[in-house]
Amino acid sequence: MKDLFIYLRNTENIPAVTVDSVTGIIIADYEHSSSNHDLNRDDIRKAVSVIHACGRKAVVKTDRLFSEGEMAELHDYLEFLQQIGTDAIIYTDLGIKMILDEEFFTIKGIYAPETLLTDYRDIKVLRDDGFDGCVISKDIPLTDVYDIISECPDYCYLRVHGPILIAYSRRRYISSYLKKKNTYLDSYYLQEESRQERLPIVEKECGSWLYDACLQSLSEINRLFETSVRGLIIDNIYMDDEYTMKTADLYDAVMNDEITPEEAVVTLKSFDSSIRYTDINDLRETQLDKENQ
Amino acid sequence: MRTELLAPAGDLERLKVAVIYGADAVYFGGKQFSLRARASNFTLDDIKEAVSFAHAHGTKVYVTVNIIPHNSDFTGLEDYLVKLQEYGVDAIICASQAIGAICKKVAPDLEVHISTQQTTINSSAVNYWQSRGADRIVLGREVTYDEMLEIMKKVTLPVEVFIHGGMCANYSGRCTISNVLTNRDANRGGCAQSCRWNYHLWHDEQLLDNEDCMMSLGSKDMCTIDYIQRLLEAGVCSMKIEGRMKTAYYIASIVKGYRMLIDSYYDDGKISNEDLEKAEYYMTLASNRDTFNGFYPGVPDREGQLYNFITTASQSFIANVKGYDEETGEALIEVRNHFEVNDELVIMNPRGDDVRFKVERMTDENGNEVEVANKPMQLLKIKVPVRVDEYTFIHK
Repeated sequence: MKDLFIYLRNTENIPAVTVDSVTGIIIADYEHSSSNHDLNRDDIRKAVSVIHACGRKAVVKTDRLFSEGEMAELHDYLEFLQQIGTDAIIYTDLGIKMILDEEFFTIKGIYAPETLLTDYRDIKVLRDDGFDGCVISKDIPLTDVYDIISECPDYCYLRVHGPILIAYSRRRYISSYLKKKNTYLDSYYLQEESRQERLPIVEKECGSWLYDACLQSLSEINRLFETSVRGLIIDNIYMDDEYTMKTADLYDAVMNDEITPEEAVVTLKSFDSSIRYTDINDLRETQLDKENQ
Repeated sequence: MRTELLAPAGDLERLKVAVIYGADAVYFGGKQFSLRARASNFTLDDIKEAVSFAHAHGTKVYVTVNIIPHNSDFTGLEDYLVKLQEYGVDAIICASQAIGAICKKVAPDLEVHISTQQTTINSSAVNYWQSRGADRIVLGREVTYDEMLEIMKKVTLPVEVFIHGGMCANYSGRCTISNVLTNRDANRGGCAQSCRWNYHLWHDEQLLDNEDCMMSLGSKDMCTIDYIQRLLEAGVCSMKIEGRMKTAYYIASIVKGYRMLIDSYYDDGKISNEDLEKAEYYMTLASNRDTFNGFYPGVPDREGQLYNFITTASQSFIANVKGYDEETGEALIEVRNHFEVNDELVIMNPRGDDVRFKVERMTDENGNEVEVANKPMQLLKIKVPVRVDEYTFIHK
């Protein structure tokens, strides 16, 4: 059975997920992930319990890079996640893989280095090396995604919905610019001086994340679901859980032929007209891809 | 074991300059599989010549194979790696696990160095790479000096660190702003440095722009002469200069500055303030951006950012030496910037002290006297007080 994971920000919304195809709920605490929402360990413990009570897998995002001074605490956090019965983590730092291996953790690790998994040969190396799963980069054309899934069956996860991360830094960009050290979590945007589009930016104590438009895959979801992909992910950063749950309902409706993809896109855009979307079919080939053809 | 000074080379000329000015190792990219697509880069014939030249001077050669590959990028890779091994290249620098694994299989004599594109910033990640057969790790530039010391206490894999040059604003390899804004693939050699552009900052509908400058993500360049002694004491295996796109003159001055510091440390057991002053002089000769110590003192705030960036071209580079006549004591030079008879110039001696001299007479290739050198690339002969070799630079 394929996984469909959705990201929720608040524990109290977990029981409200009614879509049968959702097999897991992704949660994240503030300190160890890109999340800009203030969950702490107690919240995570409670969320995992509630997710399990709902018959779903509990997946925790630990999708940050960690400096040397944070490693002892990170180790402690991973132990905590295992103790509370977390089913899987989504991580981006290879240091986590090493900890999982060295300490014989049984928690599953899904490696998601965002920009770095763009070909099937690399993913085969990971698979053969004992990585439990990985998330394909969203920076490649859809044709490449299908090739990767085909070459690595029942192994890859794909983020089908959510903001497209385009830069991650240890620097605190907004604090530096405004000369005021703070966290800047919601509704901050960069706009390149000659363009109209605004790029959401989040700054926390540990760095900054810059996003492009929100990816959506409504027109492709049925085809993707028929492939040998291991799982699909509906992610979120700055929208509330109501948006995420309504979005999951839309995907489910398309998969059950209750609504056409075109209708679903119209409905999606009606949720919040300020969100800019990129259709997964429009993920552009770069200049180099074109030259290589 | 002495710490190596590792210098970049965008083409054969710059490689030779780096070697002559004292690099212990050089790195460059081939025509394929490498970032910095806009650097001139090396053909296979160039690589063969580069290895021959570098090894003859006791300098190691590393080839960057550091793209984050797509499915179609592997064509010809195995043959390429086999050729690199055949030519005697010492190592590849790669960011792809698959490329590293293929290299270990088809060209086992090549060392595999893990690129900074992988952003390895903690000891567990270093140990991961060691357990997968890597021969060296290039730490992410986001590691502070104290963190680097802690990492080095816990790992046995040789550690390479950056000491100078341009810095990615974001974690290297984790940035695709260029892809999104220009359709140029940052992780496959096409980075347009969109991080350096100007941006408005908004909070909801409120514009937060400062009056004096727009926001930019761009970073100041790294310059770490103040940290060299500490890095040497820490036992890093290699100190790397960034800049495969930089000019030969830049390579010469930066390599000379760091070479002098490293030699002082090994000769005298320490780097003196006088050494640092001299090195600072070389750092400023060809630089065109403000610098800072990178992340070594700590995660930078505003002092590491570059706002209102304007490139300034240095005019201090006057000419480079193309030949020398032992009998007449004249150097054949290629003019790069304006100078005149009676001007005082400096020979940037690849090894040893620089030599200051006054231009007494210049002639062109036909023996005609020239008063003013103002034609770039013109070949002139001038009398110099010491023997000079090809690739030596002369500046004001």
